[in-house]
This record gives sequence, structure tokens and C-alpha cells, in this order.
Amino acid sequence: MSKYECIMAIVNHGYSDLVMTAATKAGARGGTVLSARGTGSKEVGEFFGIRVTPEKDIVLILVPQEIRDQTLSAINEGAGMGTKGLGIAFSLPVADVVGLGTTEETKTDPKAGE
Amino acid sequence: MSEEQEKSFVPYDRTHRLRPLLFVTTIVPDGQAESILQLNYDCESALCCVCHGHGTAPAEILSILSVSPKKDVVFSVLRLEFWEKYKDALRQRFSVSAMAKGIAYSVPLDSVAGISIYKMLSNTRLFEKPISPTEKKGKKE
Repeated sequence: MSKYECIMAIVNHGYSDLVMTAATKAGARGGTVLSARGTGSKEVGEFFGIRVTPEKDIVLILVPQEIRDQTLSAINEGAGMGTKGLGIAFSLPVADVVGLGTTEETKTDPKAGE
Repeated sequence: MSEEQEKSFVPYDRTHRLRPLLFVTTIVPDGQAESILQLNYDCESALCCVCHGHGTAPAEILSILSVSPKKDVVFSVLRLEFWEKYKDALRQRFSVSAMAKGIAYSVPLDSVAGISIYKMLSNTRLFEKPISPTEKKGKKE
């Protein structure tokens, strides 16, 4: 296993900045936001026969294992259920990473491309 | 399941060699998903899904670097044996220029729902054969 974890935070649409602000304070470098739709039965409404599902943002953040817990608790505080973001966050173990620009990652074959 | 069926049931992993699978997420700048899909195809991936997302870097920095925040996110399932090949190809690609930078990571898959799904995801439905008795003997020795 690598020394990284993938944190996934699911928040209401438009509140991904709350997640990123909290995560950056905890030491995360950046993230990627995807658009999604929630299917929780409480949130699904019906207007004039048209089912309306709430829009969500999924934020993917790759962090070193050492700061995983503090990042998760920072997200819970800054964008969790007690905020307008109404977010949940969890982490997945990452087996391997490429492209982060660390010294290990930048080792390339000097003859590559010849 | 009846008793007879229970007795005759042999788990798939007893008779076949399982190939570990990885769930791979590749994040590249907007418009570059096609080449990542081709790379996945070369690595015998049977399932790829492209989503559109955006990065979270501040707008001021993006305007200075004249980089678009739009991203293509490719989710795919790869056999573990192809990960090194995939990684090396990505590493070379990412080192070409700042416009080709990206990130990829893999999460191991623990379980799948059914043998046919496993065969589809691992792309082994055509050539996977049961382990031969001689191979089994060799394993024990």
C-alpha cells in the first residue's frame, strides 16, 4: 500500500469550496470536484409530477496517510452535517499513486522518448 | 439452495486462478480523456467511464498560469498485472509538458457481485480456463 489515502467528500452542490477550505487548512494540496445527484429518499421531491433529485458535489482529495484523520475531521467541521454543505466524508486506501510530483514519482527513464 | 446443490457447489476461486483487480482513477486536463481511454484499452481494461470535473486551484493562480480548471476524470478497472505498464505510460505522458500533467491512483477491489461480472471486469472470459490437475499438484509440491 502507498502512503496516500483518497478522501471522498459528498456535499450539496455549490459547497465544494467549504470542503476545500477545510482540507487545505488541514494540509491537503488540492482536489477535484465532480457533479452528481443524490438519491436519498428524504431529499427527493416531486413537483408537478416531475421528480427532482438534489444536486451534489463530490470532492476527491488525495492526502498523505499522516494527515488523513485531521483532514476528515476538518471537513466534518467545515462542511459536515452541521453546515449548509450537509456533507459526508470518508477515505479509501490507495494502493499506488502516479503524478503527484514527489521525488519518487519524478524518477523517469533518462532514455525514455529516444 | 437445496442440500444437493450445496454439496455440488465449488467456489470459483478453488478451481480458477483469480486475478486481482484495481479500481483506477485518472485525472487529466480537459480533452485528454481519449488518450487515457486508449491507454486503458492497451492495458486490457474492460470498463472505463469518463466524468467531467474541475480542479480546486484558486482562480488567480489559474489565470496566471493560463490553465483551465476543467478536468476529465477517467474511472477504470484494471488487472493488477497491468498496473506497472499503465503507470509507466502515464509517468512518461505526464512528464511531457505542464499541459499534460495529471494524477492517477489505484484502489484494490475486494469483491465483485458474481462470477460473470468478475470475468467481464477482468476481461478474462475468453481465455480463462480451470486450473489443470497437474498445475494443482505442482502448487502442492
